[in-house]
Amino acid sequence: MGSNDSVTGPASDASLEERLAAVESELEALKASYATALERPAGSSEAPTADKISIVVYSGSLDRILATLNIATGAAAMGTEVNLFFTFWGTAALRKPGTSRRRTFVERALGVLLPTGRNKLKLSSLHMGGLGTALIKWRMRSKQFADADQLFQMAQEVGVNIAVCDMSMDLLGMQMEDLIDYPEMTQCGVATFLSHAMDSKTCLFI
Amino acid sequence: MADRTLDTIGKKCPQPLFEVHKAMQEMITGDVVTVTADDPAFKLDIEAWCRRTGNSLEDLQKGDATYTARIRKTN
Repeated sequence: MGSNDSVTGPASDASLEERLAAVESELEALKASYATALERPAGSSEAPTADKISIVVYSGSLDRILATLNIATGAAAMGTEVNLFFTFWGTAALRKPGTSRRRTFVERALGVLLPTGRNKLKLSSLHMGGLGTALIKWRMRSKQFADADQLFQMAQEVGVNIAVCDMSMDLLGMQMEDLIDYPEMTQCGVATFLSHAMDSKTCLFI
Repeated sequence: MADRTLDTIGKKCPQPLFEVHKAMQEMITGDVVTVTADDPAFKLDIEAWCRRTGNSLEDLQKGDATYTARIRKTN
């Protein structure tokens, strides 16, 4: 803005008003973008898709697996990269029924003792010899909640990554061929999980 | 630009968001989707979803037991 403009007399009133209107609309735009910036949590990046969440799936209880998958699919649907790290009892949720693989005696024994996959998991509370778990499953069905099968399918569709702890698999006598077919599933160690976790804004242990 | 509708009546968390996410992937910037839902969590969830994904929640109406949201794909 030149300083001459302001002393040219009444003839420039109209142009002054125009400029004032322009400045006012600019101010409104700035206010709007400021308000949008305030709504975002501190530290969130400009591109929300850069967000990442890592979850340790330690528990093999039905309720915890459902909660995990619910959070995971929700996060992925919000444009967040999701990495699930299945370890210890959590790996049982990934087993598929029946394996043709030759197994050692101990592996076979563990196979019998551990739940075979997501449909054989028990609730962490109120299992009551199967009655409680059956009741909750029935209620989930009648209320149109997504069950474990549907949630795994949804997780797959939104690209949730699953990593399985190789130590847990070794300890519990499992190999990749004993696990469900899931496209984004890898076998990994703690360093892989940690490298994801260190890049994640959110880390959960379930 | 194309407008589309999405019915998530009867579906519970996180299915409505999952459906919206899937619909958005098939849309181009500027497209609008009108979503109906009866999940009580839908109001807060769709607001959070739009905030995080950078899409614009143009309208959110509460009916008797349903919500209707108009979302414009802006990211």
